[in-house]
Amino acid sequence: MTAAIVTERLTKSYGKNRGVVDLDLEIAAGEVFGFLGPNGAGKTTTIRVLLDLIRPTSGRVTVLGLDSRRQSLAVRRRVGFLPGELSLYSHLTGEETLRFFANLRGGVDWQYVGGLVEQLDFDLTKKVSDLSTGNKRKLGLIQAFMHRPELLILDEPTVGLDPLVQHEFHHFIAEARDRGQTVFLSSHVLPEVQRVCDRVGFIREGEMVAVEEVSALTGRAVRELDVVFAQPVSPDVFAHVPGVTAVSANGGGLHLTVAGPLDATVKKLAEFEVVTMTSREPDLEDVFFHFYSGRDRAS
Amino acid sequence: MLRDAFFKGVRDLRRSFLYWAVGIAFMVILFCLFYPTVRDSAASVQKLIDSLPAAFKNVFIGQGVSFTSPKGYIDGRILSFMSPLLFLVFAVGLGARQIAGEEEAGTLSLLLSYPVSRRRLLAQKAAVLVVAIAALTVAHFGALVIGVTLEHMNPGYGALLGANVDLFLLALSLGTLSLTVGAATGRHGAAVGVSTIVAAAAYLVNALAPLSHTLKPLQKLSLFYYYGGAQPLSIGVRPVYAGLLLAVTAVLAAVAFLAFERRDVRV
Repeated sequence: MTAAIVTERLTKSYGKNRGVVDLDLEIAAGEVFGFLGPNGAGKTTTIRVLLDLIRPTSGRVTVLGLDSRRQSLAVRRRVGFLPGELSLYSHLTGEETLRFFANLRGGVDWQYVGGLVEQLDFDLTKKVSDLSTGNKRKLGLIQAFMHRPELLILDEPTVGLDPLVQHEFHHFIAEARDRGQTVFLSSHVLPEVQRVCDRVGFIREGEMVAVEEVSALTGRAVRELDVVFAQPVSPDVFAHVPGVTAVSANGGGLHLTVAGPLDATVKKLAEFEVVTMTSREPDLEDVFFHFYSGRDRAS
Repeated sequence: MLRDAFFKGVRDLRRSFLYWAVGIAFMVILFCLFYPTVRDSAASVQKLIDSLPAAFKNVFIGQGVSFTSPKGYIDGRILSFMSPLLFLVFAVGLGARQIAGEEEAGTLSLLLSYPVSRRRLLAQKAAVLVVAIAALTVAHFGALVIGVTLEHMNPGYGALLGANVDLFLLALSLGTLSLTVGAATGRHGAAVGVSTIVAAAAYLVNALAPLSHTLKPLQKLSLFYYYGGAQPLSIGVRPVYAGLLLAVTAVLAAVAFLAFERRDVRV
């Protein structure tokens, strides 16, 4: 089976921005791949190269087995794209927008589109200028999906959406996977990628730092726990619990950093009287720090 | 009506085009209705005009314009300054919107993620420009015909048509300049700015050249020189000059295609 996306030593340099540097990427047909990195890391740059909106400084890119430059039209026929900064024609209604875009593809199956519209509970009669951010995104999602593309390229699809709509989007993406579509989505939040993707590539400052199976990642995820006890507990108690990488006194309680499964920590905590406990997902920079610098030390 | 970027472009123009066409027609007819007043006091009006500083007269009224003849009046009041000015604002704005405007609005990236080649998109966008300027010219010509008929000015309908063709070609060349700068840079402001400066410089050079030895040799570089020297009705259309305006447009369009094909589309 042909890979959906292959980049070989893809480099795009701008005047002062770094763009991307020697990026190697291989995404198999049928997988949901999360492209994860902080803002400005080069995610959008990579995506724009795939669609021939910008041209690489060097390197080779094939999409669905086709050269992204020379065969761009054939690529774009088979790809659906949701831009990160989505702009639509504000004076058109939802229906007119879809009709225009469908015509650019030489027509689509309207029954299928009707199904998408219904599933997202979208009102086609409103003008784009009267739509909320979430509804604009829905329209963007429908136009990306409406011709049943083999490959979906979604740039930060859920940024700025309320949790309910985010959930709908994730469901939508999961269904695409079930239909056998390949999804390449970029994100700067780890939990989203963990929820919907099979594999994740970390990009930072234009360079691919690592590519991981999401299942492997979840097993080693790092969490921050803040625990308040009924009686004071010494940090030393937790210093040697498996998985705990750092512990410090924090007001009346403890602040723990735990890598991987929480089981041992939870069992140890159970020996004391716990008043409250909060767990939070670390931000991306923390993940990089704990995950990679930690592993480098170990190896 | 939303079959492709051309039809959408035409559709997008519907309302604003109507305002433009009605406004320009209104202006043209109004000027024609004033003709009898000017004609009846021709001697004193001409004296007033002759008393103006030559530079002022050339720039704002037209060179050697005689208000005593219908042709001179139409040139001086309508064709030499007012109509080109309005057509240029229309054409330059529209040209800049086609690619650069869409790019700055952020819709170009999504549009080009569809299976539409840049060449094709640009051709469709350029076609919108041509059709819109042509339609505005038709409205302008129609209003002139009505105006001169109402006031029995008789400038000759052939000559009138020729002058309108010239006006169309002039506006098209500057509209294309705006389209090209926009397609090459993706910047709406640059497209409008460059085109406006070129248009203003071309107008002034043509108007002031007869008064200045320094400017004289530059006159032939001015697009207005080929627009019947800004007196298209009195001087008459020359096919070679019309062809030159068309050639300038063609070269600009070629540059637009080359530049747009090669560059990165901005986010």
